[in-house]
Amino acid sequence: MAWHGKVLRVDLTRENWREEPLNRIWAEQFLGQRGLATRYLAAEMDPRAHPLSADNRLLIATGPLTGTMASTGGRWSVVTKGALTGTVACSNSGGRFGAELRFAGWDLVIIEGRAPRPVYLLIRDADVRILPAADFIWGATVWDTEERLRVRHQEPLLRIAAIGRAGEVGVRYACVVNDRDRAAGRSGVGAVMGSKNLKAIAVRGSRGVSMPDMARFLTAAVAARDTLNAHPGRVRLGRYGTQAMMDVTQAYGALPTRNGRQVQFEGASRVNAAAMRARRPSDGSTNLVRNKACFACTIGCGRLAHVDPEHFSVRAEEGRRYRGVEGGLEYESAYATGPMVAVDDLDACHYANMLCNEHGMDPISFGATLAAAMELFELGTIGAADTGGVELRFGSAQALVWAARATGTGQGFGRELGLGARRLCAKYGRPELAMVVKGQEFPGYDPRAMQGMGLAYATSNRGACHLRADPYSDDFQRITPEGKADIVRRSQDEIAAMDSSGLCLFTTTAWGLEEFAAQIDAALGGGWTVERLRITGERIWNLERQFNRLAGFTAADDTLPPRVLNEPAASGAAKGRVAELAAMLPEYYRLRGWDQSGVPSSETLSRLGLEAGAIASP
Amino acid sequence: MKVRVRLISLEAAAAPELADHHAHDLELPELATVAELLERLGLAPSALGVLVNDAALASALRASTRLASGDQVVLFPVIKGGS
Repeated sequence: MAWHGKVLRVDLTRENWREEPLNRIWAEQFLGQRGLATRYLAAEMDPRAHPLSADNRLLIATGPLTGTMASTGGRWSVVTKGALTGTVACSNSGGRFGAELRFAGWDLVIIEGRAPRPVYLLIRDADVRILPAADFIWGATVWDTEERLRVRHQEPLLRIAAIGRAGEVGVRYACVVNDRDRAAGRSGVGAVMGSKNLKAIAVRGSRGVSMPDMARFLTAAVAARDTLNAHPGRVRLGRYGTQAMMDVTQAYGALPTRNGRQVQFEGASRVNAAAMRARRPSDGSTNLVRNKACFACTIGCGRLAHVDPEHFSVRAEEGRRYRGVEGGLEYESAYATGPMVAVDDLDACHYANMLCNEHGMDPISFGATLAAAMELFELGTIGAADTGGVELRFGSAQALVWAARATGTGQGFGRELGLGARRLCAKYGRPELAMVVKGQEFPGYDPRAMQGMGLAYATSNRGACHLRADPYSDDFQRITPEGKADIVRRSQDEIAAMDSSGLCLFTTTAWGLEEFAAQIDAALGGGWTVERLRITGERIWNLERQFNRLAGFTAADDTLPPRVLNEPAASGAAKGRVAELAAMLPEYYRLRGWDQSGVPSSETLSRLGLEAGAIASP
Repeated sequence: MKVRVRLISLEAAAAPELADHHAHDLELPELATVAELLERLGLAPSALGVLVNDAALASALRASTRLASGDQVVLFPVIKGGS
């Protein structure tokens, strides 16, 4: 079977490590990656522990298809208790790091404790070392960290997942960046890694991933790949990237603008996919250079782009290193550094996104936090005295670029921006201005126009998220809340299983659970059906819910900001509408088999095999 | 009658002039329905979002919704979000 059956457990406090067998019973119940790692997390830590304490665990998890030839089989996840939210956090990334970890012979890495000094982890197959990071890579950017590690270890193909300065200085939405511009981006998993004094994990493997029946696996993988290749959605993702979305949310009136005051942005056409492909006068080039694919990916949604050489950002001394071709804007980063802060300067958005990559912070949370700060500034709640003289106004490209650097390096008012929108707005007495759920900032979809997405945000186990449910198709065709609860519930379960496989959610442009089941079944030697994946997904969802309940979350946290519940959308398809959460949430609880307070019933837990002992007793 | 049609991130084989994603006037028979417009453009109706004068139109209503001269129609793929 595709599992190596090996877990690497690293105790940073004692600076030692050991090999353990993979818990096969849990792998049968929770599949891999998100589900399996959450099972380990729930069993090993008190959900009430502070996320930045040594008691938190940090799990680096692969799925059974990570490192295989299955299309997009390069996904891996960081699972922990999130520094931004205090909820269970699972943040998923691509690139090549996850596949390399499997090539080194490991299915899962469990990191516990806190190193007494900054360290990094070097894994070369079974050779594991915990090495000092001070006076070497501690304090360095993600990009410099990657280069220095490859030079020191004379290993050009080392694959590295690292935190940047943001993770070191405690930015609550710091992420873990791998392969230069791929990231486990959300919920502050990089802040947890930083709190453990762990700068980077560098991996080189020389093994493969074995299959119980290679011919059967290849038949399933090739059939699924061909289905994906033939689909127009795949072509669209390769050509426009996820940025194809901006014209849709703009036309529909679902594009959060100026911290959610508006749902359409007058400058959207200057920061969308077409703008990235438009020739500029200065050098006759376009922002977009080409697309880019992760390990084994046959979609290639990633963007490689470069800033206009005449742009103010790269003409400044500190901007010189950003003149090259780097990871470019995707929809969420473009929304957050563009419409959300009302900036229509494509190069400034791209530049800010590069700073997020290099310093290791989530551009969604950064942009939405900056938007909240801009609203506070325009209301006069904070002033130039707070910001060190910077005019933090909507639309200011200069303020955006300044804020990205200040936040990523923990300088001045950047420290405040690093708190995230919830803590920032609470500090200044205006908590209602934070566009967050459970402390996590909105992605680029307004819940007034997309009712299903509103329910998905409110019930997501890691706070506001666009990747925990799939209400898109229905939301873009139907504006009323009826029937959304079932769509959200079903897709939450399906995605929980998909996130546990090692494959990318973008395959669902063409695939359903059938394609996932066929490939997983072949890789694990049988027994995996569509129905079993559904139940597995539901089990994972309920386990995450139970973790959050024990961490102190209640139904009161399954809500949306007052702005989207009370202030009608000013334009677009939802003009005059608010998010009708109260019309959906009771039905959602009922369909889940939860009581009116959002607590899973004993029957539901029993049906899913989630006995009381599934979560560590405090 | 003329209706103003704009395609977003879509290409219609039967109307290549719409590929620039700008709004174009399209000549349609009087009382044409939205479903007939999609057919004329050669667009598969599934996984397609429709706005008529900024209002979302459910897929079940496309066959019965008649367009009027001057109506503005926006068609887009119901794509999913990502990173």
